[in-house]
Amino acid sequence: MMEYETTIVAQPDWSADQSRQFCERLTQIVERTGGVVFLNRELGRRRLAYRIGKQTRGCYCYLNYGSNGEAVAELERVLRLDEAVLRYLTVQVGSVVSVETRRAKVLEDEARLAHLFGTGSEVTFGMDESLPAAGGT
Amino acid sequence: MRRFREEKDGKEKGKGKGKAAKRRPVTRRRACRLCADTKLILDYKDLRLLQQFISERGRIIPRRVSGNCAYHQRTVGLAVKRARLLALLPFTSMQH
Ligand SMILES: [Zn+2]
Repeated sequence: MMEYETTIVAQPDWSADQSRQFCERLTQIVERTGGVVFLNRELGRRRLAYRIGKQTRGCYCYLNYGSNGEAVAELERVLRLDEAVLRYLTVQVGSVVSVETRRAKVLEDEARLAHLFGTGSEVTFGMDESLPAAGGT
Repeated sequence: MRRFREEKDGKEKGKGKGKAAKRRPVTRRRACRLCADTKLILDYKDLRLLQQFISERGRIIPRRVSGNCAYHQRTVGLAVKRARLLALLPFTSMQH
């Protein structure tokens, strides 16, 4: 079984609740296709480093899971079709020897992710253009 | 944080070829930071770390300047490109 992580950039108009639901839906897809989800986290809204379509900001979601690859195919199929999704990236992290051992490390990973992304607050990295600060349009 | 040879780059090209050996600033090859500190894990999500390897315009700093070893420079390149794909880092500063 391989370990993968998928990061998704979705359109910014979602509430925190909606992005959590979205993460939940992705988790179900992985589990339906025989994968095991280790970590699913909503990373909050942040300003994009460049415009995608008309959006200058996006909702980031993160999913870490183990699968034989089927889950990746199905997940990416769904993401491709979903119009709310601006970008997604799946990376193979390594192979999972034992699900239990991997699970035991999850808290550590979550802490690291929280450290990198903060908790839901808006952070800007990269070029800070003089973009309108207000959301919408 | 900025590398000192960065600004000079473009200007020195094509000038005084014959004296090139004399004019080259004496800089010690610095050790690869990522080799030196094994606790630094390069990850496309770690923007704080990645930003130390890109210029203000968002370009990847060459390893001749940053001092990275070949292996780590490739890792940096991969991580920066992944971060760009997710709009975490810019491709250029000229967009918008
Ligand atoms: Zn190195």
